[in-house]
Amino acid sequence: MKLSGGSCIGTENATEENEQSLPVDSPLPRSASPVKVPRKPFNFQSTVASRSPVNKPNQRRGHKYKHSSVSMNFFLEPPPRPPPVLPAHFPVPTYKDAIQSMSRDQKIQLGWCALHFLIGLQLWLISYESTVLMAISHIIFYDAFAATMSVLVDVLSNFEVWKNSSIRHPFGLQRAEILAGFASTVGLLFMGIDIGSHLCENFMKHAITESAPHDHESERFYARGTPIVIILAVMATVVSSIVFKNHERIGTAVQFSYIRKFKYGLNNPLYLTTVCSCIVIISLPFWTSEPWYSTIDNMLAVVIAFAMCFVGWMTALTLGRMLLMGFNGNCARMILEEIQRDSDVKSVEESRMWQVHYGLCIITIKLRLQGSAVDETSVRANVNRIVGDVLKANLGAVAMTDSKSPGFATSVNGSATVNAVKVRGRTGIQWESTIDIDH
Amino acid sequence: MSESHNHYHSVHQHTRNSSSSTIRLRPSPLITSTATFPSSTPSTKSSDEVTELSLSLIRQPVLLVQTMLAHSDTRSIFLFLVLNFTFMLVQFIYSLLSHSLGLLSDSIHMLLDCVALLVGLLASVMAKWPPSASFPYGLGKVESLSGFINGILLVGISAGIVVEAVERIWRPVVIERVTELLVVSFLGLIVNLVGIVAFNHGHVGHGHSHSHSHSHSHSHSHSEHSSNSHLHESSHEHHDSHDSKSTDDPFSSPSIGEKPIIPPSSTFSCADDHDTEKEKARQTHNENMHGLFLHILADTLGSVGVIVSTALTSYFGWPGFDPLASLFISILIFMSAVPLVISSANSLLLSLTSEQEYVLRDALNDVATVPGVVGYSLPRFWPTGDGTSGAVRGIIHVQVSEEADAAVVRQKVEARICGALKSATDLFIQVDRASSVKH
Repeated sequence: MKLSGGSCIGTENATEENEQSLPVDSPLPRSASPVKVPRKPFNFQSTVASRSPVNKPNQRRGHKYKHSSVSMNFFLEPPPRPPPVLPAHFPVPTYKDAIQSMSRDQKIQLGWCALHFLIGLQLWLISYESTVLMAISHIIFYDAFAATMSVLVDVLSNFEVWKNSSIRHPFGLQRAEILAGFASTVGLLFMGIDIGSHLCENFMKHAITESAPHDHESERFYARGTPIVIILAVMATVVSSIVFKNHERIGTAVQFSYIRKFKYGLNNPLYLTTVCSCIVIISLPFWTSEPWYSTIDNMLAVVIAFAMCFVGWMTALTLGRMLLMGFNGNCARMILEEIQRDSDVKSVEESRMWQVHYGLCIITIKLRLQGSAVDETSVRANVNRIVGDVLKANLGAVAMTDSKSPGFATSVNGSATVNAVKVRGRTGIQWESTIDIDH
Repeated sequence: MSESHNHYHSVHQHTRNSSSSTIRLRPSPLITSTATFPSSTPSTKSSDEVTELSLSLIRQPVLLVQTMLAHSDTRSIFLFLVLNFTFMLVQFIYSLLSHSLGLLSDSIHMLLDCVALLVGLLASVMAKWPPSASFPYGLGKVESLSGFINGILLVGISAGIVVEAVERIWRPVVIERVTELLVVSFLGLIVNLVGIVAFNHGHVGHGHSHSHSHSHSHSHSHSEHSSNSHLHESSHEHHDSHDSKSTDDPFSSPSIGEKPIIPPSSTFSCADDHDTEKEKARQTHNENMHGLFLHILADTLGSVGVIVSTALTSYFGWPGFDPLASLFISILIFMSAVPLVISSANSLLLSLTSEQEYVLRDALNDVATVPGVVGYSLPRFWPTGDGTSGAVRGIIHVQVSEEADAAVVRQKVEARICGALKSATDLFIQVDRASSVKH
């Protein structure tokens, strides 16, 4: 770019000193980009590229009457609008990203989960004929999976895509947690049914052949250090449930209102059965004789299979409802009933209420108001208050990860659209309301 | 190919014709409960509506069977379930009479198959239920969920088979009663082949739509036609439910028919060109049928494996063929189940496909340019339950300037979104004054 070019633009403006005049014959547009600056041979200050052409009357083209005469000022300038916020896009983390983002603690926790798995595997390997030990090993697999999942959720929740809404993933990836929980619960249910069917089969085989084929029972129970493995299994179960609260992550989705009062893991039937049956198996030689082993084993196995099926079924129902975009029907009806009591509301046209994941409910309601003079903001605030009250009163109705204590307080946080019922100062459940007012 | 095509269409026609009559036959407890909604006193106790539903299923078995027979997909599942169950029963009685342990465990295995079929059947029936307070979007996702369950079970089963096979290579088991085993597995093979023919028929009908997708305009209309049989029916249901009860039922879905039918826009068909095979599969599959099909296929392979390995063992005298066949089959099962798990999980995560994202971003840009709109927040759009039509539901909050007419802006925003997205249903648009929104 030549600066020496004779035909500079004759600018009448006082800005001539600043303006690094561009040659007229330059093919480049006037608002040249600063990219060209380094190519200049002189050490001038950079051009004021952003200066609008309005300042140079002779540069105007077309009908820009805005500044030229009063008589032509028909149109008001529209108020400046902020540039539209483009919806965000977050990349889904790869394995590499996830591993790199893990802290040392998280790695240790993952290592513990692997150990937990190994203990289960060992128990399973030595449980050749004892159905109880096999069932317990299955429960330990389930536990270990739940613990692993809670670590993984911890790791993944550091990524934007996990929690934040984007166009591609409108609810983040948090539903993946529900999905994984559901998968493992289906596994638990299946294992429970499998053990049950094995028991039936054994029973019927006995009935058919009318013979007891077992005759080395003590070897069966106490081969290759069985008690040590059982003790390890109990320890793994207890540690995981204290450190990771893994039972809560999957288990409190199960709302056993009558067991929830108990503390220290007693609120979970699986935990209870695992520990109790382990104690029973270990103490067998102290209170009974060998011929009874098989009978006791089978009876305990029936109990465990029932517990597995019960927990599996209840959890699958709760998680499945979330996956099917469901909500507690009674809560929905109560909310609607309350809204219709509002004198400003003429009718509720449509409503959709559902729970996305542990932490979020979506409430969408289409309303018709009594008159056009009604203040929409206050109607919306009222609806939000009603939703909060109903959710607060029915905390058991929505699945939460932390819902043991009834000491909650409602608070509506700053945004007009995201609200939360707080449980013990922590966010228990949030909801987003969209109130579409039909005119 | 063309033969099956025609036949499929006739079945399809039949389904559509009969759908209106079956809806009246079907017991729909939730419709009645929502119709009486204003008078019903909401109980604070959270009663499980799922149990309610299943109870009503048991109460009216005749109606249920009629419903099942009315739809082509449920009919094939139901008939195969009956066949499978009969075979299982015969096998079970024979095993009791002949004191055969091998047959006993095989019949128990078949019982578990029947359970899987029952789950699929229930899912298929439930998917046709109308929306309710508990499930505001209906139970369209239940088929994805059932497919997911079946996929998870198949993965688990294949893992179990691998373990068993490894154990048997370690400690070979001598197979007794070879002729009996052969006869039973041959009969099982025949039963399962019947199932495969019955299911593959429906499967081909679905696959057909995307095997023809090279002829673009045709495939689009065709795929909509065939795979949307579901959607047609559900819209029928909505109209029916509107007729049967008062119009102020807030749980009913909007009548889709009232909206102007928007032809597939050019943007959408443009985006269609670069969609991946995976996404296409995701859109045109019924995951429930896919899962059941894979399940039966796995059983068939099992029967074939038994026959082949028994023949090889008796010829060569090496007992290792049986576990080898098991290993091979389990790998096949695993590989066929993984895509099913992935596709159904994608559907349950409520994420959009990339082409939907593209179109939606365009639409949102459009929304920002509507006169009077200052901004928008919380855009959440997710694919509908059936996952076949590419339809999208969504919510959005729009902030408007003080002087804009909220009703007009709302209408324009809705028109923009519906115009860009081929089938945006169930839009909820909250219009706020920009001044009233706290930031």
